[in-house]
Amino acid sequence: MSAVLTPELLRQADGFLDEDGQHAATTELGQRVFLVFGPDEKGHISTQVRNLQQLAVSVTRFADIEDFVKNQMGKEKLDKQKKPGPWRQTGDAILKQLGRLREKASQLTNDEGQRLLLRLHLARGWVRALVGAYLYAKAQQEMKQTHA
Amino acid sequence: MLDIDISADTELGQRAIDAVDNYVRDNAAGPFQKADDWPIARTQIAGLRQIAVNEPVKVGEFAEHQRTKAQAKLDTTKNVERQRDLEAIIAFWVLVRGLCEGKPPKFSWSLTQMRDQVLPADLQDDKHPPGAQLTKEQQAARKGKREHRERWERQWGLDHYAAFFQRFCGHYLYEMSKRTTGE
Repeated sequence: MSAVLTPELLRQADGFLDEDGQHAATTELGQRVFLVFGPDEKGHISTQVRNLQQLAVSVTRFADIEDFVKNQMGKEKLDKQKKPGPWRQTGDAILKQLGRLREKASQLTNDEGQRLLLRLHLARGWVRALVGAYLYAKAQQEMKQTHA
Repeated sequence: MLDIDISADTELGQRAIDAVDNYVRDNAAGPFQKADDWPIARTQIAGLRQIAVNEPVKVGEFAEHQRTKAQAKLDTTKNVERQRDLEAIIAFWVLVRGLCEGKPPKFSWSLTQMRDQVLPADLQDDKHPPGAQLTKEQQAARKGKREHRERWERQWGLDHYAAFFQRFCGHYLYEMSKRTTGE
């Protein structure tokens, strides 16, 4: 099957990612992901977050991103204080946002091939915004530490 | 883009999620204190996923083997709580086998049924009248078609079992993480 995304569909998808509500939700989630995962030991972006990003830009099935989040949540155990790990703290919110992208793709076209391509396009735009918000939160924290 | 990508992302994936949700609702509603309290442990889920990816034709057999082991334990146990646990384990493996090769009316859908529905027309069995003598050429053609069909089924299994059980196992682990409160 060979489906193609029309410029109009791409414009609508990008417009959705840029909408105030959607953009704010992704930014807020990116900040939360930073608070929960933090940077790695060397101060770089968390490997887990990087893995999510790499996956989102390379998969051929949107469900693989959802499965990745579910698997990571499933692997984690509560710590000694019975506190959930980072994936369990953020996984449901991530899955909810991915669900919204799925819904949006279904609204924009009835063609299953185009829907899949749109889901992937939306996921890539979404993860860019999420990681952007994560990195901005990281930079803000570093600046605070520098000026303190 | 392949049809399997669309299917895995939509109908096939959704069936896997629904199967887990129904199983959890009926057999493992929880909440559970520890992951070990779940009928099926993480390691078994990992094993199931591995078999589905590497040797899809063996998933049904594996499920039946696990069911038989649990049934043998159930037949000898008198502890009511343990009996309940074993029944949930049996239900899981019956479900897995059914998802692979179940037939109506008990299973309205299975991977085998799905596969048979999409088998290309040129690979379907030729109808010969009973007792018909086939020429050597006809026999050779039949053999060739059978081999072609087996190759097609093997590839279909590799693609679809992997995609289905990837989602099935991921969703089971997700439900485990949500409903296990103490670990």
